[in-house]
Amino acid sequence: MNPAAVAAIRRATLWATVVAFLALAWFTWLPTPWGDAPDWTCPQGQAVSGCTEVSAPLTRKLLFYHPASAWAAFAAYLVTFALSIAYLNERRLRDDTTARAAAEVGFLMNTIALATGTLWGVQEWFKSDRAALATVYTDPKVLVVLVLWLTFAAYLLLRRLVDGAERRARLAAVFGVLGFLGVPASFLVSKLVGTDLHPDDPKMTGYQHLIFYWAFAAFTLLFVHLFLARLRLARLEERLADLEDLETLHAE
Amino acid sequence: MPSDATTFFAAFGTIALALGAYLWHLERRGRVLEERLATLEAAKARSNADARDGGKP
Repeated sequence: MNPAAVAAIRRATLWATVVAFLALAWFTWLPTPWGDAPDWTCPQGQAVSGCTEVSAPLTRKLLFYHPASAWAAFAAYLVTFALSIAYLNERRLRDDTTARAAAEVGFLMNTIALATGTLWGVQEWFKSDRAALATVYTDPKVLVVLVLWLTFAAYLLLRRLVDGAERRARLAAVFGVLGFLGVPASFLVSKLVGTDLHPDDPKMTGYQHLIFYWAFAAFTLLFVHLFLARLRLARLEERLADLEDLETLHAE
Repeated sequence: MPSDATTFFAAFGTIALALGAYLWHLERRGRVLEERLATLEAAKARSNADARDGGKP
């Protein structure tokens, strides 16, 4: 693709992301344009996810950030998975560097999802007879996502530790394919275990649904922008490596 | 047990810090790479010009 077009898309996604997040902040904080203040207090009878009592109305606003960041991480890992398979089939190093860019952004989004989820879980699932963190990290879905996070931490680490571009790319591609298995596992595990603590489809009002999907769009835009920005660095590094190789050849 | 407000602001602080730090890192690293690339390309252009002139001053 033409580099000027990619740069234009990168700039456009940056501005679209800024606008989407400003709107998201407005939707979650301020009254709606038609005058109703969104109801965050979870009154009796309104079945919002995990909302059996009004324990943390502020923290509950993470409903619009935590799942959306997890979705962006999963989308990034899907890109890594597809490009890792492409690398293993075609052995093009460019697929490997693109997979790495997606994995790095996915890891960041996964970190945000884990951190916000931990804080939210500590507030919402806190039970006086158990340590709050233990309650969060014994949830099967959280455990699977933690394993996913550790797998991609290892993916990024091995890229720094392994010498030889081909060997590094091959190992990373295997990690990228195996690591992605955690994504479908995170959806399956709550169905298999049958816990309702961490639902895939939280019950919400119409307005909350609207903000929920807006947040998904905002995080998707953010992922696209960060991915393109990271990809630009990868291409610059490739050009620099080529030039430095030439310099070394001339010097010899 | 942290309060509702503490948890909420800690969560938003985490999001803002993580994204801000990553965007700053991408921007800074991009600038460093572009400068290095420009230096190398200028040096390459100079050496090409020297080679074309046959080493004449």
